[in-house]
Amino acid sequence: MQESRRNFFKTLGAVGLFTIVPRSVLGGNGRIAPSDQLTKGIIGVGGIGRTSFHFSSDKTCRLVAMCDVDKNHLTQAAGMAKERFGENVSTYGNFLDLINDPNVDVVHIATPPHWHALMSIEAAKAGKDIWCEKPMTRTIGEGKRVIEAVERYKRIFRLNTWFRFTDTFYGLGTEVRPLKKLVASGMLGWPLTVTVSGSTGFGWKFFWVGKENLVPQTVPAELDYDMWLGPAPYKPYHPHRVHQTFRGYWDYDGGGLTDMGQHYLDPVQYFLGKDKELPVKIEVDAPQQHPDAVGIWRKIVYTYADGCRIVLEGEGFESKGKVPYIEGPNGKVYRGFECTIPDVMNKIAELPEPEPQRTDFIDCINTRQKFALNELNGHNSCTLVNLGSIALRLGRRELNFDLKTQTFIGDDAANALIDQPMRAGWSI
Amino acid sequence: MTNRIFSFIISLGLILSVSLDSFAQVDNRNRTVETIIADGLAQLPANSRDTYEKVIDEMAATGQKGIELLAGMLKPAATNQNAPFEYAIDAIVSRVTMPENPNRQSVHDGMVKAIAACTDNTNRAFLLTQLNKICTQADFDAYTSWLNDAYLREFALAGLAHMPGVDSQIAAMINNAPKSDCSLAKLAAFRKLQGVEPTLMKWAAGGCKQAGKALAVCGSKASLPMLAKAAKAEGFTGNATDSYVKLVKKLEDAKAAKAMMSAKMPEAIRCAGLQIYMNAEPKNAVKTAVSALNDKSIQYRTTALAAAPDNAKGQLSGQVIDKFKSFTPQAKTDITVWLADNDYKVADKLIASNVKSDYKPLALASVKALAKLGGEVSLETLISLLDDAEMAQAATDALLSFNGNIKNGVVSALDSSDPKVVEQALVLASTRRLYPAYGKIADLTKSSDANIRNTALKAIAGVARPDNFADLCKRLEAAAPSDRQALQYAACEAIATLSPEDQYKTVSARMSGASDKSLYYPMLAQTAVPEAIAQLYNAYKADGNKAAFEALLSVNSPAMTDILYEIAASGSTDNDRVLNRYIDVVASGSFDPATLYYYYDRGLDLNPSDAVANRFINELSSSRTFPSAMLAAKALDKEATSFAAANTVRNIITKDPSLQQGPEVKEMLEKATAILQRHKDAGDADAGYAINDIKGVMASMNNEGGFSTAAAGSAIDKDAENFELYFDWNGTDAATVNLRSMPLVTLEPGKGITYAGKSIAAGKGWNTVHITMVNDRINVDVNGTTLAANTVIASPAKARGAVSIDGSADAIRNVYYNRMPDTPVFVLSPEEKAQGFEVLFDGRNLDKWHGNTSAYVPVDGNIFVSAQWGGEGNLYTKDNYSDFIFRFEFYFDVPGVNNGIGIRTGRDVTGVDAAYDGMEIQILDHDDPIYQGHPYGYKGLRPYQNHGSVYGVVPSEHIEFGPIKQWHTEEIKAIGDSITVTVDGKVINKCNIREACKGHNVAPDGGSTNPYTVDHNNHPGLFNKEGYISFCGHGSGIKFRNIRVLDLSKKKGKKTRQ
Repeated sequence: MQESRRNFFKTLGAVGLFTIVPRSVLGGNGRIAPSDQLTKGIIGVGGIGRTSFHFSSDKTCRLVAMCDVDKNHLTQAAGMAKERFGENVSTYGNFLDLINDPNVDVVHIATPPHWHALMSIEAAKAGKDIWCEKPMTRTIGEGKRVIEAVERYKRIFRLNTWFRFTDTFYGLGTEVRPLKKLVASGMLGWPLTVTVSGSTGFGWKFFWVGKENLVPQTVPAELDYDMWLGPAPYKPYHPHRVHQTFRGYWDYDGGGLTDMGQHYLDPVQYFLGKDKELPVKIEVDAPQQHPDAVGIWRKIVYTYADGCRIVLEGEGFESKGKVPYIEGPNGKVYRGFECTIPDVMNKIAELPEPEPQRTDFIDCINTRQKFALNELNGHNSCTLVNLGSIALRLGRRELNFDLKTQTFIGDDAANALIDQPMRAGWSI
Repeated sequence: MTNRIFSFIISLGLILSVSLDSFAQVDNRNRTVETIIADGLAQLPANSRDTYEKVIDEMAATGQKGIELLAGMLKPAATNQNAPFEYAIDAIVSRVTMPENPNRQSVHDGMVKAIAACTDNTNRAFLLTQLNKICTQADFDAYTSWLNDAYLREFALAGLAHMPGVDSQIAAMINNAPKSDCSLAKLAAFRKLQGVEPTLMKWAAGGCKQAGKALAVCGSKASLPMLAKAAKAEGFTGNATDSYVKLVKKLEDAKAAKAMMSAKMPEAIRCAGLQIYMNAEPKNAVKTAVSALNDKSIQYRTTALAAAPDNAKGQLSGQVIDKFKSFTPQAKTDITVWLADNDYKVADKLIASNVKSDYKPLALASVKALAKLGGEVSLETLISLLDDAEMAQAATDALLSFNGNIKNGVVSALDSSDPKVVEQALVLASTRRLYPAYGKIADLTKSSDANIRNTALKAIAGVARPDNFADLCKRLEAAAPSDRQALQYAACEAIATLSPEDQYKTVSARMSGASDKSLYYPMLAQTAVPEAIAQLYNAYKADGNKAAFEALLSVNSPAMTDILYEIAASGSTDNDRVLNRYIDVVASGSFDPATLYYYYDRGLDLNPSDAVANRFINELSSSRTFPSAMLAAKALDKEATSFAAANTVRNIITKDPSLQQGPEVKEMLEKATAILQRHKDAGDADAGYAINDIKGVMASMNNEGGFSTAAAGSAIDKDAENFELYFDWNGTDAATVNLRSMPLVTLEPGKGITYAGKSIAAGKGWNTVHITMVNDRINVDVNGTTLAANTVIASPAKARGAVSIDGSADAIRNVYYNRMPDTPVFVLSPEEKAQGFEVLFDGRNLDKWHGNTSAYVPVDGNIFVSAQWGGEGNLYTKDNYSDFIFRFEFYFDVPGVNNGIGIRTGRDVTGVDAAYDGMEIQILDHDDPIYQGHPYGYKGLRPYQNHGSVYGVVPSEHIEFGPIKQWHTEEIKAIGDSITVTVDGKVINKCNIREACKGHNVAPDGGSTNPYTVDHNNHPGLFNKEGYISFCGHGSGIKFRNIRVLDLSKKKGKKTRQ
């Protein structure tokens, strides 16, 4: 990467004057000088990439480029950028062109998950910082490769789910922070069991199931299907495979589990203090899965070496009655933060806040500090999700995971799913 | 069924969950491979985990032959109907990948043959993908041949990626390749192959980029110059550069790394070089890092700090602390962050000295670092910053997350002479709940400094406890009006930890002596006890007391649903607020869908603003009923509510398959789609998801039938048998609901809604009545409360008739009617009629039965044994029978069903075990694995427990049922001591019960009074002359139909006992 324009500016301003000049003074009219502003390009502007949180352009980070393999999506999104931000963005059909566009500082990956690793790694190689949607990667091996590439070039990587640091955490009814404090205080005791279920306020979106018996259809003219598939195995085209229904197919994602899994499990990993630890046992109760189309499941239980457990209950298979969201030997927390410990909120307020998290992505890029949810803890929580989907796909009741070797114990078929080869022309 | 078997099944279930290995054999039923595969396919996807594993193990045990057979069933992909076979093949292959599965080799051999025999490309690719999971070294040649197949090549490569034990063969293939082959290079990289470097170098030189990539993984020092050259040629940015960096890193080549650190290199490459170098030369790591900290690039500096190996960190920290002054402010900032992240508490003084740096990023980083480090120096420094105009806010934020207790510092800061410091300290004390500060903060609420006073008034709630309640009340009574709200809030917080009753006691006691009682309304509201609510409501009703009104809006209690409704209905000055609060209360309660509809329906009657109406409509999503969908659908036509309505229609209909039917639903989905499309076009991606959802439903839903809108007054249906009816009743005008021409449900003001002498009082506003009538059962519920459930309609009941509501159109609205199919009626064949058979169950009612009519329910022409409604005991005929022919059909709906036909059983309705108080002709899915014995416990069924046995007395011949979910016919003929059981036309038991007892007929105590049989039990009722015929057991999952009996007893004029 070339000496970046923003750093050049900062060096000048700071060394020369030893005072901070308000950006508005330099830029005039409250605007930041373009040279001090980050720029981003979005890959994938069909579904999530076009929702307001992602499809943004502001003072700190300007949208300058976008890419899609569907010409219609690309045209529509470019029109939106013009209308909303007054930006004439560069449009690309090949993501490599966007990544290598010297005007782009940050690559925002909003594609289906089978692309996440490849694009993240390419972006890292090109010296770009990365904002990647969840789930981080489709396989565990791909996640490791992303970590290596980000580390190799010291990039800033943001995995985009945010409940570990902001926003009401679904059934909990509050942010995760007070729960983190409560767990860290030891008041609930140890080990803990966390139940992520409709009955504790976490639905698993089983409408993301795939369809079997897809009759092959003609690829529409606007879609570059070969590029949509990219590293995924070739399968005859059907519209249900792509765009908003791709989550129903194992080749690209893994249904509600992988859609919501990282949203739901990453904060659990955070408050259990297991950002660097994986479970040793995964138990699955599910109906049979189709080899191509994702189906539903009843229950997935992760057990850590210290006895902590995360229990996922599928939609329609929730435990009846009042189920604690988190349960320890000395207390339980239910949906809406109802707790068996009296006066718990005041007790929590007396505790020190958890270590502050770096949650300003732009600031992380400027100061080169890791974002709160980055390639390391992001890979760890994504692996939780992928451990579950491997057991599901193989119809296993139980898998045992060796923390030292990061492989399944005595199950070659499961291990073969850790690293999966990519289709011709693609590799990481 | 007998209790013995039942309890044993329960204990067996526990054992089974431990291990199922013993059920792997497939030949115990003498089935051919074809039959096993067909049986298996019929049971997939299996409805239980145990069945699944049993079926797959049976199919897998057919090995090569079975797999070939299955693969042969795959049809060309273009006419795709392959899911059942894909499910089965994938399941079998996945299952044999389990460690030491005995069927692996045979299944594997079948897959190889199947691929050879298959001609459809998509199917071949599918089969090859499956073989990839179990391929072995021996398949190498086959795979190399598939590499020459254009379609299969990619799939074969995927298999080679994981094939065990073929490294040397692949290496040889690469080294012997006639020309460069990039996909083999990729394979080499995936497998991290050794011994291919020279070939890969040759290929890379020839322009194969994959070979360059592979060298990064498979290469040695020999490849470095070549990769370096390629990287240089592309200006050190791109794929070749990445390969080079990877290899340098793999080799930890210090020299190459040093070259990458050159200032001329791109920033990312410099950083990569720095990391590699520091790791490769640990001795120089600290020196290198320190010098890198003088670099202009922040990325390079932070890399230097982050790349320090763990064992060098201590030394590095020492050096950067010592030389701190020599660094640029930028580097100082990076160092400060690093020191705090690594918890170098020793640096606290150094960091504290920079909190007022002119270089703002350094000052801010230092403040944050102090909070992270904690300790006295940090606390003092941060407290001292509270008076700093620029840094006070940062210091406050830091103190909130301070690593340690901040009490001492903050409490003493409350005494500061600087008002700014006091204000910040107040915020901190309150947020961190520093209770000992209560006294000081209470005093500060009287401060002459207005800012301090206001901040203290806000802060006091954070430190108030029950002990402080009296003091707060005293202050409240004396306070200026503008200060009251804060003190009331603090008083509420002070007692919030007490139980509601204790809170009420505390507040009442204080109130009784107070001159202005309204000061205490917020505290009363917080208690939410009925007395408090009544007090507040009375105060509001008396004169519209404003304080009481506000307090009522804050009460958290389900009881508020009616009070808020009344307030809004009587027209308050601020109906929108009342209704918003009403929605909050309803939505936060746990109400069932019908009750939610009642609440939201009557709320929408009160003319809310568009914003509130939209909230109502959004909340309706959680009530997935037809009336809720209709209520939302009505809002589709009004622009202001159309979007919320479209989303709600989508949420309700797409999530409940039972509602996906009929023209009304189709119409509302079409309208919703049009509205969502407008929003999608305007750029709302979520609307796109919604449309997709709806389209999916519309593609498969039945457009006929379902609910339609009807009205009171005229006939809703002239001749109905089974139906579902919803309507709303205003609660004030009498009306009668005629069901099958019977005036069964009456609606009377004052009394409410009545069925069969039981009433539910009408609620406020429109009441929603939901009636379902199917066969001889009726369900009635009112606003979600059950009036009748699975109740047998009191006789004399009509089997069909007209449906109507006698009442004025003003009293009844939202009438929705769903006519369900008529029940198929069983009629005797001419032969049976001529012989004199009597129908005991024709599909429609249990009129000829008594006993457990709860668990035995007529559904779709069958008696369905359902666990849904509970109920205990058996189902008995009303008449007694001695000699008879009893014919019926049965159907196992779940595996392992256990029931039985009791004959000549005792008089009692409950507590009778037909096997002993009569006899029981066993009904049992006896081939289910749970009855096949287990090494740890149960030894398997005894022959006298099989289907068709006289339970515990006479064994039957084993019959094969085949897959479950099929109808079977049965006849039981009982004449004196002779019993004959015929199933599916085959006699499986023909015996004389008296003779069967011979040889067993002495009990261990020597007694021979009672029949003592082959199961070593007394069967005292075995020789009963007559008795009921009964169905024994109430475990769910079996259906019976077409039940008829021919009474052969000489005795005429049977007695009916009940």
